[in-house]
Amino acid sequence: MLSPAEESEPTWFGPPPPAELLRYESSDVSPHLLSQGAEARVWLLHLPKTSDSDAGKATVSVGSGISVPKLNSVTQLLSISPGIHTTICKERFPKKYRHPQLDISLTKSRTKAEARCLIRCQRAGVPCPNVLAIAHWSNEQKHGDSCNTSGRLMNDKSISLTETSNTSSCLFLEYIHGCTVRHYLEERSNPPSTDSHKSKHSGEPEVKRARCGADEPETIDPNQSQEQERITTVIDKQTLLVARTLGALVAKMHAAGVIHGDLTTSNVMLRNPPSSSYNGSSNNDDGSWTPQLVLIDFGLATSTSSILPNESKTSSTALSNKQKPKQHKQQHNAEEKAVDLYVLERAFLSTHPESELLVEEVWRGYRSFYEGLDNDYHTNETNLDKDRNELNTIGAYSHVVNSVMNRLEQVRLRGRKRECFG
Amino acid sequence: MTFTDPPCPLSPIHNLPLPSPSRFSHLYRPNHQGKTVVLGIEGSANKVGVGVLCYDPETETYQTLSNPRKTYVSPVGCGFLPKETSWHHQAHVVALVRAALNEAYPDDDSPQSLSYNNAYEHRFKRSPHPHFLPNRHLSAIAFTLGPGMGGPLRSCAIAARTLALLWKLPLVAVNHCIAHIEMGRVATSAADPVVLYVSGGNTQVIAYSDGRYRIFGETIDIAVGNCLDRFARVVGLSNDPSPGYNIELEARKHTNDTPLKFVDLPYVVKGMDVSFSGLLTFIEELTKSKHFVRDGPTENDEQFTIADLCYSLQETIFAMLVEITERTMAHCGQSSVLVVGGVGCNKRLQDMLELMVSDRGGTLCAMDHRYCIDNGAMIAQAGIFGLQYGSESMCVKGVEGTDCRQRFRTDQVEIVWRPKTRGKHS
Repeated sequence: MLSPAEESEPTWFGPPPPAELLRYESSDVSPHLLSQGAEARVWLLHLPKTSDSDAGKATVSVGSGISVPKLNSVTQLLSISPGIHTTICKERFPKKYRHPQLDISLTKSRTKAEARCLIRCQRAGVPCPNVLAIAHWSNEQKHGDSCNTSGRLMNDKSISLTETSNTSSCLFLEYIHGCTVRHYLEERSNPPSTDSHKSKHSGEPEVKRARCGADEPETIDPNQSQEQERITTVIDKQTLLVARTLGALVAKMHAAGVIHGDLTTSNVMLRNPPSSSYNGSSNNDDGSWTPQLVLIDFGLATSTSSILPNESKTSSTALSNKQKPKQHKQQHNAEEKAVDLYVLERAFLSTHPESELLVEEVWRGYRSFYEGLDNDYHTNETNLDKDRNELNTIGAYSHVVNSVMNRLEQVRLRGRKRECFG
Repeated sequence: MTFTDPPCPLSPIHNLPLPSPSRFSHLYRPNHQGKTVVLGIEGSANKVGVGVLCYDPETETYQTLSNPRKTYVSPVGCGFLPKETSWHHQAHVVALVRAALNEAYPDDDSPQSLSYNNAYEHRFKRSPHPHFLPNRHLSAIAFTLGPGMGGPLRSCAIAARTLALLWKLPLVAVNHCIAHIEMGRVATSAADPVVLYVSGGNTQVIAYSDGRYRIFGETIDIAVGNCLDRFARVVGLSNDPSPGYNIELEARKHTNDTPLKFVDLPYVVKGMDVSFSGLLTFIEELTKSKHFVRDGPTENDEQFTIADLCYSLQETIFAMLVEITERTMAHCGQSSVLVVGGVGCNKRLQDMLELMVSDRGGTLCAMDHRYCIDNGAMIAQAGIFGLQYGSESMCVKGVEGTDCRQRFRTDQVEIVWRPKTRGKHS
């Protein structure tokens, strides 16, 4: 994801964005296209700077004759939220290649599912963007108004034909500052001379970046010294720490019952890239830096049952009475979690060459989270625990993580994943 | 025929500079005209094909001199079985080699203007013309090492080994998937595309990175072509010329005036991966439902026909494929897409990809059936790269190391002819 530093003309591919979105204006900044992913466009919206009292009359300029009830509620909601100056609008736009019927059901269900999973993660304390609002808007451009679009005004016939397929689903999310873990790892791997990426970084001096990338004496990757021309992934304390934190984060999300479905290093943000907190002394090796990772893009996420014990206390939902999932349910979850981890593993290995050690560290972090849960369970609830007998010498959560890891082993070996046929 | 195809220039595909042949002279030498000519033999599935490919150093172009192919068509309701397919390949491979050489090195006396069928008979029955000297005209024999069905693979590998021993030529062992990709790159002049490889046995989304073709997404169970073939079998569509083509024809009955019914089918995309087996079971169950009309028109909205199912199946599975391709494009920051493999010549898939790619401001590189479907020229194309750039793993010295591999992943081959850097998507 690009940083807002790159202020350029919003250029987008695909159908024109909904008129409501384009016409949304705060002070003088129009929506800025952050990135165009595979299935959605991510817009950055600057919110009007209003005091709480002004919130009702948010600065929205609406063309004549178009009613946008949802937009008003969105702006109201967003502008009264304190501390939010920018928001991300993830617009799932209609895909021309898909059958309209398929397109509309996919678009709507995915937006809803994403919002649900994000909220679930929030409740469980997994760092992810806040959900601010949801809206379904038509992409049709009427009245030949200010929108600069090619397919702007169609005659009545064609509009009626494409009417059903022309809906964008918009999800308003909190804006996360920082860079992706993928970006971070590649930055570390690339020698400082190749500075093609640097411009993307928000206002960081080039020097700091170079220092960060040149931090190589610590590398413990044996392969790296052998072949200089190959691009390898830097493996040192810092990247290992990021990997470990990532593993623990994924474990927490899984424990909360959310399966991400698209775990890649591009979908994890690093709130505090180390070079930006660099201030004179090298903080890469003193251990004081802890990465603040945020999971993003829950576009393919699904939810299963939660196994977090704490959640039953914080949120008084139906989850409260199941502290230890039943055996068959657990197996089912293990499969989905293992596939999730497998996606992550392959994303890691295919995006970052020779990052096997990092992947192992991710698994270590994943395990350690569950082991931590076990320890909490033992220390907190030894006195009043009723189903003590369910906990053997090996903790219940270690049992979960073992079954997930065993299943991961099976998923790795499964069929053609290993070697293809035909 | 393929002889009339224009030569494909080497420069647009941004390979490494071609090393001088002397470096690998122990393996091959250019022929008496200074050209490098490779004969490729393909037979990993139900097609057996032989292609002759020529590299001309003066124009720096690759040209397909000939590319005959023969397909084993199984009876309706039946897939191709390894044993019968092997027999088919064994029966035809010699004649195909003969036909390929006849076409590549035509005798001056041979009539060029025969109709296809006559020419086919003519070429198959005759020996290569008397001035053709294999050892002098050819530089190497390339064959499919894998992946594929064991019997057919071995049948063609035996033919390749025999020719290599007989004509004292080096052997080049080629990965089938790599061959598809390289043929596509050369034929469409695509330098660094995201590759959607869809065939009866494989469904992969591939992008080049650091010396390997890395698989970003693939099917987690059966291949897309397998899904189509098995559906065609269930509803009794013919296997001639191919079940997938007959499904395509049925689905083409959909027009704006007479739209076909879209039946909801499971849509399974997991990250960058897809799954088809559940969808296949679902659609097989649909053909047993009381609303399924095998013949004749539908009477109410509930009912659906074979054409409806074919249309819905294509729409659904192709949308899944286009989606994972788009994901890979977004992930790698690439803008061009190359579609290869037997399913890749489906017009509807190409149209959907075109819509997606043009929305992203990129280009789609697609080919017609001559190069999309398994053929000998693509084996020769990947083989000639391996030979010219001296790939250690592909160039085998003798017949040792030519044991076929039924399982052989795309990312197991080191691509020595492309730059090591990660290219655009680093």
